[in-house]
Amino acid sequence: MQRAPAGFGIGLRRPHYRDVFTTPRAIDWFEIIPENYVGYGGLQRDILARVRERWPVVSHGVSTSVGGPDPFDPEHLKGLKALLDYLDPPYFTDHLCYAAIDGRRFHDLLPLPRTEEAVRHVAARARELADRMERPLALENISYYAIMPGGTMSEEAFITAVLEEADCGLLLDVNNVQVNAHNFQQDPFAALAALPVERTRQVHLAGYIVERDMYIDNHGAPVCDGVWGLYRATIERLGEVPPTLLEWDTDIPDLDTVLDQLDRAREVAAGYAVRDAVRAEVAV
Amino acid sequence: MSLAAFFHEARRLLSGETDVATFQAALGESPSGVRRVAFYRVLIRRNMDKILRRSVRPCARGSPTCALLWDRLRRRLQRRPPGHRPQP
Repeated sequence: MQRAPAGFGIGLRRPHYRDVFTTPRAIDWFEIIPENYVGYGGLQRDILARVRERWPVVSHGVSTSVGGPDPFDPEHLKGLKALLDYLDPPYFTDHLCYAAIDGRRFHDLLPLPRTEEAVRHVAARARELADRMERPLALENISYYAIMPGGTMSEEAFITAVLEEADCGLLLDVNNVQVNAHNFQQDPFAALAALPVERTRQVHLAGYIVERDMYIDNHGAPVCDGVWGLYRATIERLGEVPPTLLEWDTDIPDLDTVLDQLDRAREVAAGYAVRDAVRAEVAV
Repeated sequence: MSLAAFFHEARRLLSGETDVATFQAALGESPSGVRRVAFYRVLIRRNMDKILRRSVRPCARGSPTCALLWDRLRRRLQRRPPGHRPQP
């Protein structure tokens, strides 16, 4: 039986391994980075097994390089497929970007040139990935700091074209909308309005830091007021609350601090129905 | 500009084989400017340092001896780039 996320979740992170089982506070579901589990046993897998017993768990990849030029790593995909079969989420997610070229990994989520050729390339690979994993894929809008040469489309048009051509979902990272809008002098609400929000499978909330004149998406700070406003606008447009995840990956604080942010998300979403688990399975 | 040409130049830029001027001469100018494109080399180096600090604990202590080891490790990785995946 599939276990769909619904409501408000957090990323499963090592500093919280003990506390997630003892906190009386509400956590509706978890997200994991599959690269931390594929090919590994030991404590991490034990914790994951215990979490899986109590909560839905979804997988959010960081290194598949969906937009990259290299063939998918068959060993990684084999491990990812086994992990997804074990967790049995209704969908899995990764990023609309590339992360490696010619086998060299750059340990970052890198922007593509926004061209028609890139749309066809990424969409074909997204379809291939979803087919090989035998479940729907949702791609995240990344934060980016430079526009690659040769592009002919806006970021929003590029994302829309890829998702339509691949017929896949959107993992809407609201913080990335805010970061990109600031870094490229756009109105964040206009940027959000131009995205294919109706394809949203899941939402990410996170914090950023300011470096010189740029916002840097580092998942190491509380969610800012602007992002809360964009989150509310997303809910209003959808008419319901999609599965919402609070990301905190840098300078990870104690669990209560993370859950305070999750409670804030519940407050911002108040008045709207949470997308139920069954609809989460069939959405898009 | 073909996607293949983009990836060829991006690999050279991001791995430190060429600079932004060469990247833009081959592909055209970035609408966001040279500094923003160059920032990706900063980000990649930061991420690599973060991974190394977690992987090689003595390097994280920052003593002069460790700084030497750190530089040797970085030079070695420059010659033989890692193929493993990041683990945030």
